Amino acid sequence: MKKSFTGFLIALTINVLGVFACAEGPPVILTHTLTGYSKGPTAVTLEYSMHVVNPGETAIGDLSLSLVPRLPFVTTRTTVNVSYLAPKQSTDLTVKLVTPLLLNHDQFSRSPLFWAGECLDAEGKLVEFPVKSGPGGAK
Amino acid sequence: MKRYGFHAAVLFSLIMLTHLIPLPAAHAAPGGFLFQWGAQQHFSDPSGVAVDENQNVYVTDTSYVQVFNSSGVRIRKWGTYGSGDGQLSYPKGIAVDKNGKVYVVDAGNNRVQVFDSAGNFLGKWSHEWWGSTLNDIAIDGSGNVYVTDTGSFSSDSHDFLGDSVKVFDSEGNFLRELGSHGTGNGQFRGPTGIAVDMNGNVYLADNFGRVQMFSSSGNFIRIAADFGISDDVAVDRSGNIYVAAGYFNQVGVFDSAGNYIRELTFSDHYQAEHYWVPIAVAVDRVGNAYVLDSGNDGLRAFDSGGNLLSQWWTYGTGDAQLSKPTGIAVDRSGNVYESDGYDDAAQVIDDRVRVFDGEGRFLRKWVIDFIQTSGIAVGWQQCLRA
Repeated sequence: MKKSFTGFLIALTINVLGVFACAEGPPVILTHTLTGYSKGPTAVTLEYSMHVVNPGETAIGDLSLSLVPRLPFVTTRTTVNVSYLAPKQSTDLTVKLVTPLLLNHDQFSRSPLFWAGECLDAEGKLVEFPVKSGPGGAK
Repeated sequence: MKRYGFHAAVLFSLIMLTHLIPLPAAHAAPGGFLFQWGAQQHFSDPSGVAVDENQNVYVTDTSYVQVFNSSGVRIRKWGTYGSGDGQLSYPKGIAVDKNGKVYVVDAGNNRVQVFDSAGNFLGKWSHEWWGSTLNDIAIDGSGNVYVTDTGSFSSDSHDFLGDSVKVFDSEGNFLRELGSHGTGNGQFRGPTGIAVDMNGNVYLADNFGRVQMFSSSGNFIRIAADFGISDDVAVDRSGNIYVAAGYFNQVGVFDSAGNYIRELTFSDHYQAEHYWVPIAVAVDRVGNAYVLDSGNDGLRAFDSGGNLLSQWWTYGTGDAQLSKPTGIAVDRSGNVYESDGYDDAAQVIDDRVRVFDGEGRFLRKWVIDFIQTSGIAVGWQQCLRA
């Protein structure tokens, strides 16, 4: 009986590890809130508050996020460096963008932001990942 | 008995581990994917579209390329996220030459990658003088490749810096530039979409709001369309010009003389405001137009008369699409009953129950106003409870 129980525990452990091994997706969760909107005759200046969360159980090092210029953000490629996030740690950043698309506040506030991310995993290996930031971040 | 229990545990472990083995969809284990309905495709954030000579439709997405036949059935998919050979980072424009070679603007990696028709990596082009925002790509009848580089929008001068349109041979050797930066005829500000017609004329859209027509040797011919800031342009075999203006929610169609013909639009009971963000457009050899809708992460196909043919996406409110599904049941004949709900633009929740046959073909539907379904069942006498 003891042997069966041990076997069951081994099976359970393998399967739990298997689930973690299958885990995919970006190592951080991003959300944002449009906190500044200024419309001029030729461009709109936007300010976003970004909320970056490391939901994992391991630290993330050398984290950088480069904004991918995609509609409606026809803008300079902006990179933000977060450096280090401990497990479950979060941080807030401010990003300023200027775009020639003269859209209204609501159109910008509900638009996602696309980022090309890079970080070092727990073993120091470079990890590249795409991550989409949705509206609803830090106020 | 003890030994039997141990073996059972090991067997359980092995069975559970099978979920780690990737299986082709058509040969999936019990519980695996066989076929689907409602969602015909899996779009994440599509951004570029092209059609080849066989009317297969190529769509770029966050890190991959998907190929569909003209019926909307996915026949190929390739690509993973990254910067290695064959990997993609936010690809944008895509073009297919007459030999089936596929050219992809790998925007996140600031390069062009070339694949064969099966998705095998053939090569990459990268030039240090490219700006930060490669955008679209087109191929003429001689195999020359046109690449638009939107450049950077300066927060100081409120103008585009480093924008250009460059022409390469099919091996990626630089041939010449097309046009120059500015607002005059033959000049552009932040070029976006590009297309080449049957005669080798080049159509270029930009952030200044014009589509300009150039000869194959690069000489300005005329303003082909004036449609506001545009994201993409396509030309059919009759010379009609399709212009997609994503965040202005419009696709305009112009004849070869530049006269406005129509706007592509559609009727959808659930989308009273017809909200869409058409960011890319391609036209096949029979004149069907394929428009990528970034606002709904899907693709709409129109015939040459501007009539909606089909809509392919994961999330949607069309008859064969899924929107917040809440329940599913199957009757004795194998018909499938599905309930879901949709918040329209006025925040009115319309729930519906739809019936598909056993192979996923849409049969009929009921729309139930002001009731929010949370499940569905088919009774012994074939009565429906929602």
